[in-house]
Amino acid sequence: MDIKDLEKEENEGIENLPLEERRKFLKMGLAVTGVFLGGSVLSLTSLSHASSQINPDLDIPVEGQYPYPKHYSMVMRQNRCIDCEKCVEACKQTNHVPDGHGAYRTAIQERLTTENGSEKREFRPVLCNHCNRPPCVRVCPTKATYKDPETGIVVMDYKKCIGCKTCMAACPYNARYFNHEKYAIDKCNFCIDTRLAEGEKETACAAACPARVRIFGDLKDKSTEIYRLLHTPETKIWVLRPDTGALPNVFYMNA
Amino acid sequence: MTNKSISAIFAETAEPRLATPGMNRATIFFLIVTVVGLSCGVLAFIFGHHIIYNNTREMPWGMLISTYAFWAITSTGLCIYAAMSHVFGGTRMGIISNRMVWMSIICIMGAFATIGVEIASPHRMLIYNILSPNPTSNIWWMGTLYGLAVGCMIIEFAGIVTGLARVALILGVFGAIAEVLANSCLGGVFATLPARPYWYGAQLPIYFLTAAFLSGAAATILFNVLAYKIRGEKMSHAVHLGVKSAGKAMTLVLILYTVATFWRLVSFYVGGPELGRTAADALISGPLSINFWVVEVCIGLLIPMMLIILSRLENVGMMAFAGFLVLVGQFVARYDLVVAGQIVPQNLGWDGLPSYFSYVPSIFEFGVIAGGIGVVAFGFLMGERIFGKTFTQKEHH
Amino acid sequence: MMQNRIITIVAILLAGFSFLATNSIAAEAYDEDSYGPEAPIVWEKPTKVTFTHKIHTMDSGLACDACHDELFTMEAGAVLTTGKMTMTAMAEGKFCGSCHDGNTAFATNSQCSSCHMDVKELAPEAPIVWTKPVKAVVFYHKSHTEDFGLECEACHDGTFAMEKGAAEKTDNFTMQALYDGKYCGKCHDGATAFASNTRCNTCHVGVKGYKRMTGNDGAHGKDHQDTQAGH
Repeated sequence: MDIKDLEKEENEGIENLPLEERRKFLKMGLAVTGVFLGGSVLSLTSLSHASSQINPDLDIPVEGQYPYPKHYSMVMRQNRCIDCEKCVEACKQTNHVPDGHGAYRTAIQERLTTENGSEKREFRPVLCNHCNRPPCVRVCPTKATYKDPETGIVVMDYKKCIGCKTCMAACPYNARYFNHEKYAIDKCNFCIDTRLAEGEKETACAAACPARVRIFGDLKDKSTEIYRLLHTPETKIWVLRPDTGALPNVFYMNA
Repeated sequence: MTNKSISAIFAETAEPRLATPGMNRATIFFLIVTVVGLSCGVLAFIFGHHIIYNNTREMPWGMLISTYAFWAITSTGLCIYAAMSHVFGGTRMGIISNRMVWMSIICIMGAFATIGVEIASPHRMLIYNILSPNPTSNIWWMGTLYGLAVGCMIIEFAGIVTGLARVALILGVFGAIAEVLANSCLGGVFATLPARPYWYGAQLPIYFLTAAFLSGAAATILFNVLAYKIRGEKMSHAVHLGVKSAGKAMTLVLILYTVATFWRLVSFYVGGPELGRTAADALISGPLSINFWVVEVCIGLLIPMMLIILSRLENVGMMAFAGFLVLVGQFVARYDLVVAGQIVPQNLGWDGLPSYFSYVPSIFEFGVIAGGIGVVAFGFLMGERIFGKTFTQKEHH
Repeated sequence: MMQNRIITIVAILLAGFSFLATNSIAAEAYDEDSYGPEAPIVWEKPTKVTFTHKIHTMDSGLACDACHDELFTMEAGAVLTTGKMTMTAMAEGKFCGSCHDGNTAFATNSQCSSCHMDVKELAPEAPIVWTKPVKAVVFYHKSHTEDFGLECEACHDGTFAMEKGAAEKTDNFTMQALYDGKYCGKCHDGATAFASNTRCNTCHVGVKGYKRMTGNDGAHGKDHQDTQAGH
């Protein structure tokens, strides 16, 4: 879907939005304020702002009712991305991502289109979405991949991975790869072991980004930039492949 | 409990007539195929699965997974028919059900051999399937249930051989239930992945079960006819009636399976995610279209249906050929299903990706497939040799 | 667009006529023996360049031996046959560069159109690609000179040195510098041209764009491409 086209779309209002769709975001502490293109793009705001706009009959969780003590998320300010790939480099270095065989934890995707006769370029950073309903975690036969109970980050326990690759098939985001050095499936873990454990506040990719595309933080902490970005009224926020119901925690916006 | 010695048991079940030089040669040939074929899989453990097999990050599953599914599905079918004959008696397939139990075990062995060299670290599976089970994982249930099923069937078969009819009956039922549930979970592995619209949906587990009934009937006909072919004798009337019943079942399921295939594909064209439609296009007019139209549809469905009609369920040779074609069709159908689910890039439209990834199995993958066929063929011949009398005698209960 | 082009053509024609007109008036007092050939010297190679004796002799008061024969032999087209008269040579103080060094006369890396008759064709065809501080940014001379009608001096006035990679060598070739009106920011301020903090990917082609331009997009490498290509 073209973001530029989406921006031209009128806000269709939330009347036609299915209940489940609203609940999905309510569970993340976000209320839907607008729907674009049949619900695939959502405008969100914090519950306190939205409470007056939502049908009071809905079972609205108290704001801040996130499933984990911390709620690590990332916002991608997509139109700022220039594909310098400093993030990719930083990730590779920090997390010892091997060379070749499709090994990467984060990547920049490119889309070239022609608009009014001139070439248009878009870049989109992607990484593990650390979903709240992670398909990879559900399908793993040995619990080798799981939601970290403290942070909600989807992590790997390499020694348990049997290499059945079901998690790779299940991931809607192509976020997983076979790490031929570890001989186990590997993935982005928001630098939980390499940086967060060392007291760093940001992932390697977010820290390396010169354009401040990637904003990483704890959504539960209202003082964070990510909280502010996601709770700014009238901000158009979208996620990738919302139809899969994975409830991703990587949010995209143009800002 | 009977006190018969092992050698006495084998003396009763063995078919020494089959120890001919030709049979020996065939048995040794398939043993070599098995060893050489599965050695290709062993290479993966030496040089790396990522080097030996042509799977990628984007297409993590390939022909080994589809072939595993094919043998597992066939095993389920054989097991179900055998159990129904055992439990309800009455059916004419009772007389051939012992052979079906054996072949069900052999087919699942073929499946295990294939997936055993596909999984990167099977030793971790043995440990952590027990120490760290995940009850929401279809793969865990599938593995556990197939393991359980094969255990039940081995004891069932031991019961058949030793004449412990009650043990055989009870474990046969448990084995069949485990097989059906395992098959269902195998379908569920694919059916519960919303990321893959071509697989996702409630129809797939039923589709897999239908495929099991189809492959099971086809395998029943084929192996029974072959069993008499290698003996060089004509089927008894009772066995012929049993094969005929399998032929009827196959005809019926061919219709069901064709209908299910039709609606399955139609459903992608009436709406739904683009990924599913593009994947269906791969079969209808894309890179898998020859596989689909020529092998799946013509060789696997239409020609067998015509042959069955022409045979009027009397010409067992023609029926066996139809059964063989059905199995070929099913083999390719599993391949197409596994490949089509991953062949469309999930981020189509970005990175200038083509509509379809290209996946061609490596020579080693073909080797493993041959090894799996070797396992089944070797197992079949050895079964006839060691337990041949058990397969031809009257029902054990 | 079309109208702009017509206006440009008319303007060029008018300028041409007025140039011819002034020449013909000035010629009345011109003495070829003292000042050199009256008609401008025109070199066709390596690019079309014109040299007018009058400006240097009659107007600036240089004597013939200021240039002849030490810098230029007094023979039409002779210097061209050496193949040595390049901008690089001039920058080293040879030929015109002897005086055109920025002190005695304007430097050879400025005022291109004073000598070059068709300055637009001088601008490099190939895009300029910067890889520092980020990979990669492209700049097309052609679209700036032809589509927007800019003269070389519009940018080569101290904003950008006419030297490959000069901007990259500094440590302030940054977006902040652009926002402060330096480099591209001189025009890309939202008024003259689109603001530097908008339309990022018009100039930023990224690592992927860079690889494509350098023919190293890895499309044929099975394993070494870290993007989503299958094999």
